[in-house]
Amino acid sequence: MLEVENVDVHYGDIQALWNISFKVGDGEIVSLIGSNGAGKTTVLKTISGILRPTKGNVSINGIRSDAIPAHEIVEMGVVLIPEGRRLFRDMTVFENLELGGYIARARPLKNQNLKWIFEMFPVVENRMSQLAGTLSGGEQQMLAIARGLMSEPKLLLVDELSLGLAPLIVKNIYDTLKEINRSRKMTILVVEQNVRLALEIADRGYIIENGRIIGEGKGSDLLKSDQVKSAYLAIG
Amino acid sequence: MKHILLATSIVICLALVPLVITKEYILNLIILVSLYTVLSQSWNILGGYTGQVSLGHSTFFGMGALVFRYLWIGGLSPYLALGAGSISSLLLASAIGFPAFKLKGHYFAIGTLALAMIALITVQNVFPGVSFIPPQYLKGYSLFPIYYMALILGTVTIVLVYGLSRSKLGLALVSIREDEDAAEAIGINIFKYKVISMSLSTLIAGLGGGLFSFYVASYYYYVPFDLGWSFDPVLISFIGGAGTVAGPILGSLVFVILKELFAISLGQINVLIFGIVFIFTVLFFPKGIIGIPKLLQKKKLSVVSMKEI
Amino acid sequence: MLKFFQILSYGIINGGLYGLVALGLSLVFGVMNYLNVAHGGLIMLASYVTFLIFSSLHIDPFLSILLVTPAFFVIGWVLFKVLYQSLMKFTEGEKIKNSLLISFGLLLIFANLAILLWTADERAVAPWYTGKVFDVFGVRLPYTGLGGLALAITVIIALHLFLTRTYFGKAIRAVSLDHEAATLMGINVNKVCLVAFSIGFALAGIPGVLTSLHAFNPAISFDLTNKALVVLILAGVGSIKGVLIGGLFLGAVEAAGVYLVGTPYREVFGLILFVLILMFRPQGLAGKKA
Repeated sequence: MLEVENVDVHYGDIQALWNISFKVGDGEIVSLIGSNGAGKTTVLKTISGILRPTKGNVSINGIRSDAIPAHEIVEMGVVLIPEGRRLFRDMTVFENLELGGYIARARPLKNQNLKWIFEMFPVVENRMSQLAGTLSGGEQQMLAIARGLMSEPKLLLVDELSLGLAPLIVKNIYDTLKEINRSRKMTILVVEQNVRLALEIADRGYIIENGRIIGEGKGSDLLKSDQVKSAYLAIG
Repeated sequence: MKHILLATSIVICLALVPLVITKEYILNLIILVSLYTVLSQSWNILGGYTGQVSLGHSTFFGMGALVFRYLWIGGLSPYLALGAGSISSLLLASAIGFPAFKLKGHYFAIGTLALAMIALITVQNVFPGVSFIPPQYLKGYSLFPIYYMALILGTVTIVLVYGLSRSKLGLALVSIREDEDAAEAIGINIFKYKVISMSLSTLIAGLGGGLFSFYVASYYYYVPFDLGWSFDPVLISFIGGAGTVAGPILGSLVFVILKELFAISLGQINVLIFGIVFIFTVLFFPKGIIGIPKLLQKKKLSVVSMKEI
Repeated sequence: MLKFFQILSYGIINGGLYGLVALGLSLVFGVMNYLNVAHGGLIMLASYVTFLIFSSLHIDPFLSILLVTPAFFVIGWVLFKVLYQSLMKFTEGEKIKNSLLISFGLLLIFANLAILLWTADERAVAPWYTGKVFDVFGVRLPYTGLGGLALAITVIIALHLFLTRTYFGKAIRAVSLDHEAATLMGINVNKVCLVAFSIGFALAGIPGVLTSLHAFNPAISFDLTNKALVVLILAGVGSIKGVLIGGLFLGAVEAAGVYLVGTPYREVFGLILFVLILMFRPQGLAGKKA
């Protein structure tokens, strides 16, 4: 589904990523973990087309995407749920969802997708005509994900969804994501600072540190590994 | 060092001009160039060096002219009147200009423009009609004292801006232009320096207004408040090179020459042309005429070193 | 008492016009953070175009809207493509400053070009209904004023519907709020800016037609820009309803000024209000923080 090869990314003159390579297979949940500032968000921004690699390439289902404009990458079926949610706060919940289904192929499916989303996130249905900015943190995160789902993505990129949310709500949302992955076979790439959560739901994971990938493995294995334990879980 | 020598010799030459050349036409041109230089340099201090684009300098120019006119016709010596006009501009600035610093970027520009419009309309209504020079002055009207006042003011202004550009104060102002937040972070009191910048700027604008009033025998009272006096210094400074000492001088020179060339035709073609050149300058020559030699140098280097500009 | 209602009705009629005048400016500023100071110059040019159409083809100004609006849309489209390329190379902060300077330059160019082409003499379009009024209990309501008010309300409603009921309209609002988030929805932000900019130009054409019905000359460029800016600040950025309210409010304030102090200071009231709002409530009466 997704293949990232030898990617370097710069912010102006400052290099942020060095030689990043990893793969995400169809139907997998893959987690990218690492501490603050390691480069996780940069990776997602590059895949979604907001940033361009200065070296290397990104391919989606075999098609090179690193030179394609970000809005077209959405049409290819890759949707980013950005860090901080980036909802349209002055627009209603309903309008946010509609904009999620902006691309041409999603428009005729609006009503059926709304139905599906209400099943996944019932609280969203209750708040349809409220302004997005008036929702609570957890509701906003759910809305952000719901919005992203409106275009029926093949690959969902989720950036730091746990930030600022109560643990129970976060678990709730991850459970829902896992369910979506199971029932719709949606591929998900998760970026998370909460390592335990990230590895618990993942099939596979990658560790990124200072802009470089320093480890990979199956989710369960990484959770047990000494490297992860000492660096991120404060054990041992 | 050689800049200073060059400048001093130019000033001396200019000082001798009226003794040699009697053609009033030339003297008028030089006076005009000096007038525009003074006004543009005043804008340059606030807009070029400190980065606060003001579209309302006509307010302070006009104020200086107004006060000068009243005091001079009332009998005060021209240079004293000049000083008074200048200070009154500063006072006006402290009332309406400093508070304007609450506004940033766009809003500062349109706020100052609004102030200039308010000033213009107010003067049009409170001082309608023409300001005439009393007959005794008219009889003795000679370009000589005007010329020398223009020369003195021009020189003083340029020296001031030169000194500013080399001083710590100038450095502080430029840092505000480049990145206000960063400047604040290193301990520069933004508001204080903006106030200093505007003070210098309006003082000089007031001097310019006084010069205008000394020069132009009779005019409608509102003329020095006309918006053109707000727009011209912006055009001139940018095209010449905002944030430099020589930029406004060069810009004024070109502006006045263009004005003369098209004096016979309808309307203000010189402003039209300057407007077009201005847009080109903003897009392609941000450093103005002054920056062109460096731009050419850079292009030459880039061919050699294959580095991207 | 009658005088009060007379002045008030003029205030409302003017208010509708002011709202129209500010519409294009508000839209473009909201979407692209580009303050088109030249907007007033565009409206002035539209007035001249209307005048030319009327004098040569004798087409009623309200009808020539159908010609002027699309023409200005196209001009905006072309101008955007030409300028946008050159602005791309600047940083965000520089882009904003430079776009302000460029539109300022354009304003001067438009005004002086008009003087060159048509001299500074006043003109006006005078169709058959010029000067005709409805007399309502002694208050005189000019046909042209009522027509203008009706036009303003129609256009504002139409724009509102466009922005809230169509996908593209919602995309425009999304881009006004957050460029990056809009991109993540699959919205082509560049294209939205292009279209919004062109609509902004088209929205200069419409009030231009109205202003041609009264005496105008190149100098109205500055007056109109000033009005547009005042209404923009009153309305707050990003609020279309606010623009109508802002326009009417300005009209009312001016009417009050005229009633209390007399006509010459009409502009000053609006300007003082402008400066006050800029200083103390920059988000306007109806809108969100800019």
